Amino acid sequence: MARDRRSDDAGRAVIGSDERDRRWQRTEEPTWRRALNGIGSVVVMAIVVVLVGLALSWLATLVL
Amino acid sequence: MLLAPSVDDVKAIIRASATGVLVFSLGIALLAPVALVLGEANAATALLVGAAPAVAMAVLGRRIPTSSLRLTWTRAIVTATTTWIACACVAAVPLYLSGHFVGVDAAFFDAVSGVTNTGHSLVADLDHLPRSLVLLRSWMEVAGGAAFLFVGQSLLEARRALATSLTPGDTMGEHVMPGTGKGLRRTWRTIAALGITGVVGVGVALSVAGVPLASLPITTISLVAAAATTGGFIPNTGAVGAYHSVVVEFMLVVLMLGGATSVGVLAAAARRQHDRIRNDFSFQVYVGMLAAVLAGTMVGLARAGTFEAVVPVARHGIFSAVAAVTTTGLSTVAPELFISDFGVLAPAALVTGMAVGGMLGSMSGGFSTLRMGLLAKGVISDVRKVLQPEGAVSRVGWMRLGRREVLTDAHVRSAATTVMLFLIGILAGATVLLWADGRIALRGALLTATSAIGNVGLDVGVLEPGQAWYVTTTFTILMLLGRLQWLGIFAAIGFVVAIVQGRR
Amino acid sequence: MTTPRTRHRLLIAGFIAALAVIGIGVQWSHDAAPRVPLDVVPAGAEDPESVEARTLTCERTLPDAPTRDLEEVEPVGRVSSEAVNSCPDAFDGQVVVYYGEVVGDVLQRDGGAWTLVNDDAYALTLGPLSGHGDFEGGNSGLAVWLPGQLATLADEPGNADRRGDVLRVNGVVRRADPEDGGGLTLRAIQAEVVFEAQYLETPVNRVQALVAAVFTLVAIGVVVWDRRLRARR
Repeated sequence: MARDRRSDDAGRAVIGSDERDRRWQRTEEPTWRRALNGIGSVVVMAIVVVLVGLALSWLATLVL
Repeated sequence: MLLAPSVDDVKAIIRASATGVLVFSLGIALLAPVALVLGEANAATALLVGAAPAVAMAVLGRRIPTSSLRLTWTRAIVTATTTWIACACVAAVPLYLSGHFVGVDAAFFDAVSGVTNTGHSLVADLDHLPRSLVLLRSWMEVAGGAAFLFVGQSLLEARRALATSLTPGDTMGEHVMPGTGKGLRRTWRTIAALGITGVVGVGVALSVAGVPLASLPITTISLVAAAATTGGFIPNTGAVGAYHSVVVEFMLVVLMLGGATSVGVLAAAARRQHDRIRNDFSFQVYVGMLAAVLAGTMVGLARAGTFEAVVPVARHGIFSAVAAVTTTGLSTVAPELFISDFGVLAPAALVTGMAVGGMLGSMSGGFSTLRMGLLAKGVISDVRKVLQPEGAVSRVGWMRLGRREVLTDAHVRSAATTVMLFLIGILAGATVLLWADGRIALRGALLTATSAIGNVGLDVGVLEPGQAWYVTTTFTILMLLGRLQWLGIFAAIGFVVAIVQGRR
Repeated sequence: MTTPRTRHRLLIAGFIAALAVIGIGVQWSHDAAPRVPLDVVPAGAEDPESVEARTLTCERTLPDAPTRDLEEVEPVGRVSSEAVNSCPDAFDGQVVVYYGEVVGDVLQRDGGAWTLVNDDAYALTLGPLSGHGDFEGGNSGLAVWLPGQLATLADEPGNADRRGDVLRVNGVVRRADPEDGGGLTLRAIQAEVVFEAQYLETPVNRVQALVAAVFTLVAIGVVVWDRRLRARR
């Protein structure tokens, strides 16, 4: 039976055992935790930007 | 042939605009008691002189009877344009009355700069500006950013496609229903989450940096509003570097990145749909632009000898690059140093980042990473067609948050048109500046013009109080054109022309 | 019985009339703003012995590039913030004298304090803009590090209702201060307060207060009338 992989845009919870289905199922997380997820992703992005920036600046000062 | 809009069209636009103006004006009116508490009586009365008549007129405007409240695409675009301009007029009044602006045009310039989240300012003596008016500047940024997100989100949801693929002719008659459904909720949730995170994070960081408790709330709100909405109004002339705190700068980087990320991507992140985000074309271009501008800035700073150690290059380079790509316009150094001390390559990289801007569907300006990417895909597609055998059919696609879209000529044409219009705006703005003051270097003029039309607000000391009226007028128009992506202004002008000349 | 067209014309006329009234009220309030200028700061009254303040074409001096468009600068002596910001390379490592008003916040740290010290016309010669209403460009200043005991000198920075303490600072300009992550700073060796903070005694703009009161009453009246009409429905 084909599992419904529609995302939570359709508002339906998908119950499945494999990892892919779990990724797309509508979370039961409360709104505040979802908000934290969003902000957390931005924080992670900022940390990555800083690390990449540090690496680039180290390279730039080394080479130039 | 232009069809004249009906009286109902005009009435519907007035009613819809009145709601936006009412909310905005009430926000200004609420600052009046804050001003009284701060002991700024003249600022309090100035805020009321601006807000009170606007509230009255907005309430009356909402009473205008109309047979149809439904907003078509054209009505919605014209509503957005008139609301932005009307809100700027309202905010200009207390700014003008503060006595810190040379004329009405300068006050209106600052008001437009605030509601369009640009950040350029012609305020004289900012360091002695009443604190309630510093809060007014923040309110303008928040209201402008929220409105932009809300309008953009509504229009995108209604069309279920890119705003870039749309012209008024494509969607005539299609109904837009702003203000309902998950678009509005998602927008406010995003702003609230960013705001709360920012206030807590930046507040703590500023407190550790030594900002006294008495000025902590206003400084925090001002910086958070500037970064999260990518507005860029700073509370003093010292730039962000005046706080001498890497933690403060990091928190502002987080907020800037959040403000320039589209609401859709943030919503996907909230649902932990990282696959979708990774595959999203616009996000990929955004990350790519960030990396490119970072690299260009670092190399430029190192090559120019501006800084010799890793930490200064990283600190100023990262912040400047992020502020440019997110079109926030904040800086860690005095603005003049961009021209006098950053060399040539670093400012060039920053200007490129400013012109492209952040993601479509975020609060940032520029012509957007999506259009940049579509243009690039269009070029690749055309090259492929030339290389492939005759009769071969190829389809170029791209992912938009889990949905596959096919690249069409309309996408590429619309993206190219917008980019071309942006470039024309940059040249026009630079020309006006060079005409006005022969001492201005070409680099400074181009940077300032790009900053205005990209709604960045990175001031390099070119725009200053006492500017000629035609410079302030030109740059006011550029900021509006940039925020409304030219489309809104064209639609509004076309609407007025149709009223006058259209066939009934 | 008025036709729709007549009603629309009346509405437009009413809107324009309202805008005119608001405009008159705003301009009247603006013109009636009271001015009580502060004393001129003695230090700022003299012309600083520095280069012409605005040098827009000053460029970063690369090791091999010939310098161009750089004015002759006094290596030691009084400088202005505009000159330093325009050509930071020319002042790097120099001991300079700098006069300015402390603005913003004094950030107390271990071993001293960071301050922002402005030397524009609003800081020194003319005072805060709301006191006199004469426009002389924008603000301009330098980040100053006051070490040790000097950190307690600036306890009243300028804001909307006062001109802050005016300092005379003897210090070293650092174009890329390693202790500040590469920022342009002036590290004080000596400093003294040459002019104490002075409060503005700007009275309330009565015309503006009257206009605000009238407009607010009208707005409240309109809102109440609107609410009543909606309640009736």
